[in-house]
Amino acid sequence: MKGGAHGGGALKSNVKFRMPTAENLIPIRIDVEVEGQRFKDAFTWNPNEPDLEITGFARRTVKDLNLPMAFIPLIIQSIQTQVNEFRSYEGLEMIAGERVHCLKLDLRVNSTVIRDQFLWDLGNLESDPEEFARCICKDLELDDPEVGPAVAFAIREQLYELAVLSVSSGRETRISKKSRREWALDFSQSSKAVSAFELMKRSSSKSSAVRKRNEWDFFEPIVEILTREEVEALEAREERNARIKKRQEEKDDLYVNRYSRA
Amino acid sequence: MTEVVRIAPRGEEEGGSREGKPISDAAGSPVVAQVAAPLDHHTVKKEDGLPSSSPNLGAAVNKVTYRIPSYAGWFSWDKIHSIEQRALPEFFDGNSLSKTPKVYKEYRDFIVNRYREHPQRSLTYSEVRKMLVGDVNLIRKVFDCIEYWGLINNHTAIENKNQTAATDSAHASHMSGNIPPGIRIVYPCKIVHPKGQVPSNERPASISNLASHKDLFTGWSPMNLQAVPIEESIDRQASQSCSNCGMNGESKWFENKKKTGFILCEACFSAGDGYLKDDFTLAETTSESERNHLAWTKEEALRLLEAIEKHGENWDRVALHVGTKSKAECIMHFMKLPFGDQFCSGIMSLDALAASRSTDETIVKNTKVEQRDSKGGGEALELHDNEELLESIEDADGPPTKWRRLNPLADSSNPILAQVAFLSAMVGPRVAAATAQAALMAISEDDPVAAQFLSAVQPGHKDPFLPTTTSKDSSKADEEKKEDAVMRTEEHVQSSKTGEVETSSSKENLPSTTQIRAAIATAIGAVAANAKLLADQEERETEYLMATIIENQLKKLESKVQHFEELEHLLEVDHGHVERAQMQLESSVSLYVNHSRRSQHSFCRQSSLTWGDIHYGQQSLEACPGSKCSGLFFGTMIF
Repeated sequence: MKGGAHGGGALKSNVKFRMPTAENLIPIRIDVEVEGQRFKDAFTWNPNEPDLEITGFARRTVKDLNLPMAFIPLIIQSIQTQVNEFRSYEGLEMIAGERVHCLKLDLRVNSTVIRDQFLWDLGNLESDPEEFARCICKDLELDDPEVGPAVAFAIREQLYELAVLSVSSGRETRISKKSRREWALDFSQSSKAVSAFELMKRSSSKSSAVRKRNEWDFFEPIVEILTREEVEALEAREERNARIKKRQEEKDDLYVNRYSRA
Repeated sequence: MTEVVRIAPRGEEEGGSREGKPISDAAGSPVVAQVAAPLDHHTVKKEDGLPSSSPNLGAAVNKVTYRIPSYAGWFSWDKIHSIEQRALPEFFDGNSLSKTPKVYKEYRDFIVNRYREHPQRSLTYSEVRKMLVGDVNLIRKVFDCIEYWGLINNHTAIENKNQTAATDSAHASHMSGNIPPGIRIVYPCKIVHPKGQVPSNERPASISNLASHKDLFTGWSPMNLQAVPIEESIDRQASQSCSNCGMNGESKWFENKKKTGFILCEACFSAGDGYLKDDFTLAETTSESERNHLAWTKEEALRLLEAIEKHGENWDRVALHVGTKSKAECIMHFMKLPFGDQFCSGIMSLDALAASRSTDETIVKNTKVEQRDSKGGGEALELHDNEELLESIEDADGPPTKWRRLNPLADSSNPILAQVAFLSAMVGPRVAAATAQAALMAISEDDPVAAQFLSAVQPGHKDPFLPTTTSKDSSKADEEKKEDAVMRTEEHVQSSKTGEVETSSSKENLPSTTQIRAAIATAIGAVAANAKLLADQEERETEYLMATIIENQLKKLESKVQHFEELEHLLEVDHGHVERAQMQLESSVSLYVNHSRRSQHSFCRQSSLTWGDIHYGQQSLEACPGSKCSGLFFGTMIF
């Protein structure tokens, strides 16, 4: 059934909103701070599970990581918000059919920095970011067990946001400001990739499925293993950037609130 | 897996086509595509020692054997198997624009080729996906499928290529002796040392080894001399075995420019995929004459002769009789058959010949008689000494006289003489003879010494030419010449066929330089004659064409005149019409005038004007110059 939905090349037919992957798992990112202690995590969540699970998950996490109990409600709230956001899209329809986007990875997991770029078909509802990430780790011989999930998560995040964009009723307001800002950048690039791919499709008799040699490097995963010093320096910088960003966002929110009130 | 087992033999059938298609990746670098079965014996089903038909031209001289598991025997470069269709249905349901069988094939071929560039290492998905455009998930699916079927990363089966690559043939034969059942033997590159090009006119300079050694046809002759060359040719034939499939006896060869001695037969070349065809040259073109020699077996040659005897110059039937050769090949071969032509006139041997001739001419004459007798018995030549051979062949009634006429000169290594022979054959014997005469005359006019020699050449029946030369010679020379001429004529009665033969065969005791000059002159003469003929023909053609043109022009003019006449007639008719119309007009005008006069009278009567006034007005008007008509009009208008 899934295959049929994805195979339907006709642009008219729409499908119910879901993660455009085989497993309907949504990416959840947690970044909470209690009394100067910061908890950051990213994982996938099955939105079909009852919300009770969230509480259990939060309790367990806090217990496992020996975090203060104050984290539990924050974590629950964070997850709940994100799951609810996803659920708000459910029931809406999104465009089916082939939509190839260029996904970009640029992430650091512990001491591993991985940059990558590849084409992803949003219409392929059988795609499997986890398997893809596992492949990368295997092929690049990345030992760090956290890299794979991180890659998969990054892909899911991007897919999620793309899927939200493709909701036919166009609820753009729902996209967070942050993502909008990022997507302003990313989307322009991805749209370029799409057009390039569309071009290929149109003149499929002439073009080749084999990429031009000079483009190979752009689509190649690049992995950098950092030393401990580099990691520390990077972390410090990221911390600073994050703080600046946060402040910026707060300011943004202030403006938004003022305008919305007015 | 039952299905797989069933499919395996099919893959074997497809062995040829599987490797048949050259595939290059984006950069156009050659991709080797050889397939063989895996080493693991338990998976091996049917693949046996069939020679794989494509060589590896990679950087390594050594062969690389690619193995695919026999359960992946369905794999074919040219086709998409139903297994693939089932495994990856999204490419084949036709629902997507970008997911087409073509794209799938591109993916698959690229991945497999990519792997085969470096079969020692395993190809990773991440490497592949950077080179392929498309949804990474889809590519992963394709990749997984191909890997699953062992078309790539089939590591267990990979054997160190050094083991399979055996450069020395002894090793190779050892290998093929006990091939593991799953391995296809790719013939190792056989290094054949490049043979020195055998010149096509390899005829010996001296007559001492004059057996018609090169041609297999003469193999029937009892002369033992032939044995060696035949062996040689067989040897060469054997050495020309295809480095890939080991076949020999092919007519066309493709030689690798980079690796000397690396030869492919035509089949392997056309089927070849893994190498650049540019690297190969068609050896056939470089050594065609050799090849034609090789290609004819003794039986074929004999059959050819038989056929010619039976059907004469009906080459279609001859070719039919020979069976294995085409018409053109038959003709070619027949032209190359030695009817002893090389005995007759090699310029290089002529001096020696002349010397010996002069010493024992009488003996020669005697043997000649013998010769004719023995010849009656059959074609079989006995072992003669060279002069005898020469004479016998001169006398022999070789099958077609047409070719015999060529012989005296055609054989020689001197290209000029060959040309002369060709030209003389073209213009015909009489013209050639005439031109030769003319040339000789000219030479003798230029050079009295040569004239002295040449005058001896002139046979008796060409006396009309002689006075010009003799006038410059001493009476003694004249006498000599007369004597000589008489002698020669006698000889020519026996042997001569054409003027060419005469000139060449009767000059034996002349210095060769003069002879060559004569020959050159003859050639030029022949060319001139030929040119004259051509020119004449052209002229006739031109005349004819001119006549046609003129005729056509005349016709054109005639028709034009006709048209003009018609036009004139039409004009005349028109003219008549116009005249008549004028007449009518005039009459009507006069009628009108009369009428108007009448009405004037009545008008005058009715009005108070006096007749005198009117009369006056009329008078004055009539005094005016002008036509009657206009005057009248004016007159009327005055009122």
